[in-house]
Amino acid sequence: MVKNQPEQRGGVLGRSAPARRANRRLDPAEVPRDGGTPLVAIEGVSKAFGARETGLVALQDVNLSITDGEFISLVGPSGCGKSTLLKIVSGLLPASRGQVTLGGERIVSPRRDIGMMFQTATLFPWRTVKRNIMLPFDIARDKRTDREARVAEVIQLTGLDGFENNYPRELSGGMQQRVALCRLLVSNPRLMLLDEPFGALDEFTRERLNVELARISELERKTTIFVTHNITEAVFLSDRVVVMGTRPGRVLDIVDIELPRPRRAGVIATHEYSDRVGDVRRALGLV
Amino acid sequence: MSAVEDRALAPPELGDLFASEIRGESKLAAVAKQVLLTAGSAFLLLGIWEVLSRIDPAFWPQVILSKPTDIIPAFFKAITSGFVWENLWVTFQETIFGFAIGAAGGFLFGVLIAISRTFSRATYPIVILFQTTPRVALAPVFIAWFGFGMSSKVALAAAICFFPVLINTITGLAVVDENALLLMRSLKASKFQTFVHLRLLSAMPSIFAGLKSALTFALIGAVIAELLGSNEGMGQLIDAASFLLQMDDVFAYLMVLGLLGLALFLVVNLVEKKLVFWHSNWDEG
Repeated sequence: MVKNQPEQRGGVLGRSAPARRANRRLDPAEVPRDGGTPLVAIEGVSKAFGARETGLVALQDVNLSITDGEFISLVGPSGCGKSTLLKIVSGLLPASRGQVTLGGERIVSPRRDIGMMFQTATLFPWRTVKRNIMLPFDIARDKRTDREARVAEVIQLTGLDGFENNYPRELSGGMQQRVALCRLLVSNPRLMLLDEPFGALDEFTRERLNVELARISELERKTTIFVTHNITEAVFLSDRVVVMGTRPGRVLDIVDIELPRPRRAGVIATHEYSDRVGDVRRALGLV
Repeated sequence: MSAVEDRALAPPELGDLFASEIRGESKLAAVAKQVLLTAGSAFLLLGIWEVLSRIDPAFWPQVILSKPTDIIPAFFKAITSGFVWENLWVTFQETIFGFAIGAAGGFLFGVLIAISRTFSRATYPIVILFQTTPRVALAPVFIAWFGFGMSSKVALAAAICFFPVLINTITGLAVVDENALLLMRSLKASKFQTFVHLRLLSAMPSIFAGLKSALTFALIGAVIAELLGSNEGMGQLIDAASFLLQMDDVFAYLMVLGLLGLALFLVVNLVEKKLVFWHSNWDEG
């Protein structure tokens, strides 16, 4: 892994533990990936719906450690429990067995330092772009004086300048997802959970937004779990791709993606990239 | 909600059900066509009426049928006479007070039923029972209770208004986007915050649909109560004129009432456009 962009090291907006993240960027041979204390630890998580004997086992014994600043994708076919796992990590859904911790603290209910994004932008049509992005502040009754400045910052970061006072219905699907990303970034969460955020968009918009997301994620250095069933998207964005299988939902393999950062669209044309895509496909049993 | 879904959810333009393509019609042309066609069909209707009322006076007793050419002067006589305005003012007040009381009650009751399971279990079956009873039949009861004055009319108008607002409030508050609820949960929003920031606002279009029918119902309620027992109001004027077989006047008063109803409806429409601006048709945005 090459660290060739030192000016990005501190992150423009993400001020959480840049030093630790910088460590992770060093030669992986020197600093073992799971050497440091994990930010997120998923330990023996299982989830069953319905009665124990007859019920559907959505997840079976998932173990995963995620270090600070890492970008992880969960990839797998429908029914592999990737969205269920994301909901458990978010605290929206309790695990049947096992636990998830964030910074050593057990997650038992939703937390304000965990941000979520869904397949639909889920913007409030009665709020302007700016007021939609402010929603987390309004809910947290956060009266900080730099609210406006922070909103302006994320708007600039996602290229929404000039659309602050538009209403969601005046924006395209891709632009709406940018607003949703802003709403997620604005409160500077420690952990971002993205559930197929670009799944409903057309291929061109999706690719453009993936490049944007890679840029923003490198800049903000947010620990991210990204759920998708798009293999190439997962490889492009991630440090590690967690490959999941069905019946029962479980982790099949974890593929390290040691492609250089910053990731730019050009990465897609490299052999390393296609090799990693091949690895993920093999892990899924597709080749 | 994406723009595409939004467009799909917007009600289709009336009469466009079988349109095979999107018509590139300018706004001005559309308005001009609307006005001309409405005026045209109105004139046609009045023409047929006029002809029918003139063919055979023996077969169509003109005293009963009345002629448009007699009604229109009667209408102008009505709107220039003070006593019609006095009675219209009475009916207007009954309608507005009845609407205000009924709509406020329906809204508050709807909110309580939507947020409290105990309250909903205690009252909802009774509410449904009342809803299936024709409430205009309550008019004699209210007249017996509250007398021939305005209060019995306000009471009937309120009773009729109550239900459409109630039902639409309950439905609006119940139907909320699942992901939006998930989002609020992930932000650790309290129940009160979810109600204020999400449920109430997403229920607004539905509540306004209820308010619109409620206002029309309020006018109906006020007039029915006036017809059944009153010493003032447009209903009383119509009752008195038809008793004297002055059909020209009856139709003139009906026109006055129709215009009042239209004016009230347009006001609610305007308020809705301002308050629920995000819900109008896509192209109007």
